[in-house]
Amino acid sequence: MAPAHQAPLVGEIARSLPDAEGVLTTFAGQLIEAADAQGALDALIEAVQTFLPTTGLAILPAPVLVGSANPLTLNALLTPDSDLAQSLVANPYSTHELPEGIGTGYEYFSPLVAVGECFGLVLLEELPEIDARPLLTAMTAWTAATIAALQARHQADAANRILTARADELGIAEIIQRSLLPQGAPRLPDWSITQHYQPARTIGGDLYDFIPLPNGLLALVLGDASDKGVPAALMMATVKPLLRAAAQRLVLPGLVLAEVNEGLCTQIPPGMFVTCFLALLDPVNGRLRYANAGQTAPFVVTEGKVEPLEASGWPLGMLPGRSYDEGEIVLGLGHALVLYSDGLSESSSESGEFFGTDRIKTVLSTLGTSDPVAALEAARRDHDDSGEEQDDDITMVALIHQKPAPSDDMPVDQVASFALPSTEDIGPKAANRVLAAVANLEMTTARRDRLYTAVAEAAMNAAEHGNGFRPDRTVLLNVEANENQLTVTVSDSGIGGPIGDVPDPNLDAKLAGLQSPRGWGLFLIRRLVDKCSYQSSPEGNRVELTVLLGSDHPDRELNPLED
Amino acid sequence: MADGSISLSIRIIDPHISVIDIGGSVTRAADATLAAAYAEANGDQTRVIVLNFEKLQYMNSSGIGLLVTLLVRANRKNQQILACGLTEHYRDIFKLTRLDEAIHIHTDETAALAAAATI
Repeated sequence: MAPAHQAPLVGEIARSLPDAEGVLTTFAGQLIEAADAQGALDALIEAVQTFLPTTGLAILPAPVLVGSANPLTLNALLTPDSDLAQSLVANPYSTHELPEGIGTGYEYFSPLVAVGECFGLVLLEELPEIDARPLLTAMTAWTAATIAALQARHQADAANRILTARADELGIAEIIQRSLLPQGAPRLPDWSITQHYQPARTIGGDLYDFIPLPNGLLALVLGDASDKGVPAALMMATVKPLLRAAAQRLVLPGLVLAEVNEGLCTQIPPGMFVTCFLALLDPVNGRLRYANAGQTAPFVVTEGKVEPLEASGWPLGMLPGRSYDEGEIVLGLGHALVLYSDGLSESSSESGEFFGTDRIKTVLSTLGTSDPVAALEAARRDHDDSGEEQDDDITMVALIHQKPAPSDDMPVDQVASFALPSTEDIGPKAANRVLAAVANLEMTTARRDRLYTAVAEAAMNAAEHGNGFRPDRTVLLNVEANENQLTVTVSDSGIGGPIGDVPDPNLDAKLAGLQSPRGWGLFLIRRLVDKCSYQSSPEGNRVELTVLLGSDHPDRELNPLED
Repeated sequence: MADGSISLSIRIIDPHISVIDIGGSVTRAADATLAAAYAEANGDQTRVIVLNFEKLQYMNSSGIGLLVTLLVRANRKNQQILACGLTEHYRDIFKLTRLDEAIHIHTDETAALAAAATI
């Protein structure tokens, strides 16, 4: 058996046959047009059959390719790790002894080797009379190179198809998610709402929403699905309408989350869940009632202090029958609520360090008049120096109760807003807070005393009748003042029903046992301030007390019979 | 003004006149305490009870309701209730509620006791 020849040289090929150039040109054209490895091998077979008959030699059988005689054995021997394959790859034009049983009956073989891979062997039963071996060796080498190129192209095509499909999926996920996000923040008088949403390379499933509710309330939502990509986007597409429908009917955020959880448990795939923070804002008084289904706790920023807004609750879709704690705060003037997804806290620097909640708190505590969202995003960009896309969506929403611009009409230092628990001693506590807030206003002692009693009575009424002395319900007080008047608004949650139009108490009737000895509160409030109005709605009762200020409004003589 | 509980002391001036010193806060929480003080101040021959409000810090509408209850009980016994030591603000409240028509107000205890002696 003849060994493989040395590397073919152009001169040798040219000398081997007068028409070698024409044969090779035709052969090269066929290789170029070959669509796959078999096409390249067919071109080789055709070229050899075309070429060798001119020499009067026969090929038996036609060039034998790896595997054609004994495919299993050859394939096993020519696995990339096999000694033969490695030897052929290392020295394709050196002499090689074929293993027993493979080369039997053949006088010639040449390896199909290119770019470090052996694609097979070409074997001939007989050598042609003329020395065509350089030409045959060249053709097998070119064939191998063509096969290698075709395989590489097929692999690239396959990879491209995968990448394209993945890109399509991401595109779908992004389209779904974008369609779920609000087009802009709602505009509310005295409130500023800012937002930032940055999708990750693989869509992370963040969702935020603003839901206008009856009676001027606004629901804020920030959620995150446990998966990524299309499943996460579809999950949020399921959650959003559930939340919207429940929020319209139920008003209480804990009940809303409980209902959405029930609905989701029947629809969600195993292992998936959705975390969600939900808050209901009354823009008039800043009262914010909230519940949380496992979402990162938002922060409340009040005069440089940053506190998490904690409330416990299971993520949505994990277990049916869950209940969700509710909390309540008042966002006073200048206060802000900052919601964020874990994409922010887990945003990492090039060295792998998380942005972290401590850094979030630090940024928020030094805000000044800056927008919390803009400040956090700037700090995150400083921290994330990798220049790479982040791994998770980043969502931030800030709700800011804007302080009115200082003016001659309404000095801001005479404005306060606070909430007190519904306890039996709320009256003096509320009155003391209000009096402290208006300490700078010029008021007579009589006016202050009357305001004190009126506020104390209104707060007590709200705690007792409006909130039923429930510890989880607070009484909200807003104090506003300008040079002409001072207004105190006292609000409750209205679970005790609306404020009724009760007749003035009559001492004679009380002494005669015809009226309860009690029932003086509203009467005192109405008589002790210059104006008193109240309104009731399903969200609660609101009593507005107004005291006129300035020399044009001297202390009134109190009259039990006046209207 | 401050919140807190009521503080009461009873002084029997003579068989006809008793004084109840009322300090702190008069609110609904004072109901039982005030009723007990009235019972203690109330003898067989008591005709006048003087409520001394010099140390009163706070009284709300529920506290006024307690005074009305006290007044009803006193009326049943044909007793007179007098008040003294009220600040200007609470004098206004008494006027507003017309309690001043049922409870005669005196500037201080001396004046109240002098008036009580004539009843």
